[in-house]
Amino acid sequence: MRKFAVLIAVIALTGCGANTAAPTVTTGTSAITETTETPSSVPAKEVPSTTAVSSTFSEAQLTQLESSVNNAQTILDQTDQLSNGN
Amino acid sequence: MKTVETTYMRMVATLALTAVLFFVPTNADAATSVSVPANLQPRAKALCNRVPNLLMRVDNQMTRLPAGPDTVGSIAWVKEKAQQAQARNRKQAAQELNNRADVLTQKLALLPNQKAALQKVQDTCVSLGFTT
Repeated sequence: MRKFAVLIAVIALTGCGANTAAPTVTTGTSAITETTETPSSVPAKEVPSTTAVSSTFSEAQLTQLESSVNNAQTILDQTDQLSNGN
Repeated sequence: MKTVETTYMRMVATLALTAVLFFVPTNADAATSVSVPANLQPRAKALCNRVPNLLMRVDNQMTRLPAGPDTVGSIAWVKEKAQQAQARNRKQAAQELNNRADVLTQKLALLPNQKAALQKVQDTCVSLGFTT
């Protein structure tokens, strides 16, 4: 029982810090090896929260979609006119 | 003594399991729902109704424009018309048709992005409940 508990603790604690090794990228067939490391001074990007369960569709979002659709329609209309010989 | 050891082991196990559960990623996105205010619903519905037809037109143009000279409205067809005009010494008409072929080539390059944008709108429409 004690060994089991310690094993779980070790897995949990080591798993949290996994994947911290810096990636090494070898470009092409040359001998140049680039090691990319994330500078410690660069703040980590803020990850948007995924806990929201509901939201309201805003007028700005709708206007943006309308703009997107209108733009597509304009291009389609112009293309039809040109290819129809008008 | 044995009771103390058992209690200690239980505490370690509980802490470990808590740590595991804390770091397990959750898929909360799947539960996200978006509601459309009543005053925006007619606009949203009208917008969503336009999308299927526009997607069909994009597909038609993406098929027609790169087709051969036998397909009316293709870029090759317009270029052939330009050659015919040139052969009849109608230089201005030939120039206009060549320009038209150039613009159609540019439009063709825009179509994949427009299709992607329309598909995005369609996906939004489906998520809003305005199935198209």
